[in-house]
Amino acid sequence: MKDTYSIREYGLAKLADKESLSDVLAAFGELSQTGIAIYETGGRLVGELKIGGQTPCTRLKESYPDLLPCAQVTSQALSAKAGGEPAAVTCPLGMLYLCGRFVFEGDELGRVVVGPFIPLDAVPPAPLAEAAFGKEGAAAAREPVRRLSLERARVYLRSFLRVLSALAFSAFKAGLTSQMHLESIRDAYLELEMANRRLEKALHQATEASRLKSAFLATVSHELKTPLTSILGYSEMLIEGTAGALNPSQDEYARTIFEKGEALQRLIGGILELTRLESGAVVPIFKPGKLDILAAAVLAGFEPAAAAKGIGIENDVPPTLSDFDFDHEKLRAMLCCLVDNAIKFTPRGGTVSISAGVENRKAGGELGRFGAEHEEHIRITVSDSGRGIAREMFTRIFDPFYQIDSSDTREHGGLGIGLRLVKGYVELHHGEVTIESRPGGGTSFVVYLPMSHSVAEIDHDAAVPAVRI
Amino acid sequence: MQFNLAQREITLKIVYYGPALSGKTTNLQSIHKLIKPEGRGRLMTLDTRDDRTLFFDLLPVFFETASGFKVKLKLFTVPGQVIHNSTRRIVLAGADAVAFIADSQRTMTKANNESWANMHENLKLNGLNPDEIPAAIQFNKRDLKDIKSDAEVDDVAKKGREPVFRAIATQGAGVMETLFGLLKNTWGSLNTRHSFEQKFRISQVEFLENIFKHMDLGAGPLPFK
Ligand SMILES: Nc1nc2c(ncn2[C@@H]2O[C@H](COP(=O)(O)OP(=O)(O)O)[C@@H](O)[C@H]2O)c(=O)[nH]1
Ligand SMILES: [Mg+2]
Repeated sequence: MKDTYSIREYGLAKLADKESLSDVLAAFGELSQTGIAIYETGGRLVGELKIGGQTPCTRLKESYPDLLPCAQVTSQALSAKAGGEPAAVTCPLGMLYLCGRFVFEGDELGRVVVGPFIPLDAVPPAPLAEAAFGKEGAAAAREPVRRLSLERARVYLRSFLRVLSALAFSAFKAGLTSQMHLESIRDAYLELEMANRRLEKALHQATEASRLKSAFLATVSHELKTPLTSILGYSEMLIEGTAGALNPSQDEYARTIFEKGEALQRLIGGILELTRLESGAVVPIFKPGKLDILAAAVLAGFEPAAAAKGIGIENDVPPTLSDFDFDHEKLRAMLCCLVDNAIKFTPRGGTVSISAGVENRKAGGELGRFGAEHEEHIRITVSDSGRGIAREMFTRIFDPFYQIDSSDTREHGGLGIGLRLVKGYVELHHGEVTIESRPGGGTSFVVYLPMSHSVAEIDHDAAVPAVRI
Repeated sequence: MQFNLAQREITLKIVYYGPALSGKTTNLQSIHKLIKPEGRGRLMTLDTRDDRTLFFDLLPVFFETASGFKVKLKLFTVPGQVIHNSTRRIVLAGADAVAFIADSQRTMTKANNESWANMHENLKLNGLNPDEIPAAIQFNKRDLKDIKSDAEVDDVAKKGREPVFRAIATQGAGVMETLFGLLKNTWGSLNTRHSFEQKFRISQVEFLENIFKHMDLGAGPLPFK
């Protein structure tokens, strides 16, 4: 903000709008029946009210146009030493003026003169009026002038100074407000323009990068998938007997080729998905939703596989769990990976379940000046009753090319890519995934997703870097 | 800071920063209450209808030194809400010192962290060095439940250079201590950079005493005694 937040810079004249000021003067005049004048520091007259009727001054001016007693009084009043009490100045026509300093926030901004009036107690001498009109004429000339006790005049002056101060304050406030308005609009405009430019550039780069990346991924997947499609197609044709009946050994070999081909196809799909996730090419689409419904849908898809293996599946997500924002497609994929994994490692007769709750826990990310933050998280647990995992394996388990027990690889025919994908999906939600397990006691994968991503995502400052390239 | 040699006047701008609803306005209201009218002006609040600051609050505090220099402090608050960032940046321009009013409630840690980071960013955008500008931290709302413990507040204090104060701004407790602590640092910094003491023939004690001499006596012993 420019440093014009000092009222002095505004000046008294600019502070109060002319019309309001003359209204206030008029109202005050009506009330007090005395004249009043406001001078800025430096002597400039800002506003003035004269009480009508013939005063000695007006009559004097008619007869002696060159005499300027008022000017004398004014300069006397304005040059009176700055002190606490208002200065009383007598004019040569025998009238009194009271002059007070207008002090605002410790600064003298001007002076206010109340008068003319004739003090009740002691009528001052009027040498000039007597010289002009004679002794009696002088008294008659002063007749229309307001008679007022000095005390009363002081009250008028004090009251007027207070009114003026309130007026100046509101005017100052209004001035500051509009200045602030202008500056913040200008600033916001510049900021938007800058953000627009940055966004445009980022968009261009992102589009270009994503074009290159998709081109690469498309090529790779094409190169891998085309031969695989042939392998799958021809082995399937062999199995179906299209090329003639197979003997049992040939049939077994062809089936193995087909199954392993399918496994390879899934693996390629997973690797491509992982590549997209880890390159940051995936921008999550957060939408509110109900977790119990999603969990039910996922589990329904695994019913045949579970039934075939004699495993029970349970949806323990409470329907009362509050809605929260998540990427529906990605969270579904994540749950599929976890449930698939759980079924794979659970022996016949076991159970696999999904449960959920809300938990207040430490948020991830950098530690700020005021320490760790706590946030509401949705906790999703996928549990199995399998043989469990030893603690020292916990960190390695998300390594895509690591599997707990290499014999499992053969037995269960999978690679750790599923869990790595889970981690990717969770991180897309700014969440965290942990493992709880004891050998022999089953395994739970616990996923924590912060309930509000919105703060960072709608914060206009964060919006720019949020464009991932 | 503004010097006005002709007017023999020094103006310092002190900005109260912090997340929305942490008690910045309440701090100024308390200071307004605690300093007698001779030593301060009206409290100007430019706010919206729902009482949440739109632009800022401004409280002028002033005094004259024995050597005849007028010292004016302009105490500003900024609006805390995220969307008013440009207002915050504008108000922060040319600040001589900042008082960061943190909300002691545990749930506000994130808001405190974000506002602190935002203050640093805005200081930099205004060409001010966040590591050098005189600053103080106030943990406000010590009367509420579920707040950061004293030990945790001490930990935050240890992590940085800023003096840390505890306050209940609604009761006026700790408010003057915060201002006093901040001004002490401000004076030190100004003296180093502008040789205040020589130029204006004003000592640190006089500077601080003058500001607090108008305090209402009911408020207990002056913080520097
Ligand atoms: N309990 C308690 N409430 C406070 C304290 N300080 C401020 N408040 C309240 O917090 C709310 C926001 O305060 P305000 O000063 O307007 O916050 P600002 O947005 O930082 O200006 C108001 O309702 C205040 O009464 C305090 O020390 N204790
Ligand atoms: Mg406020």
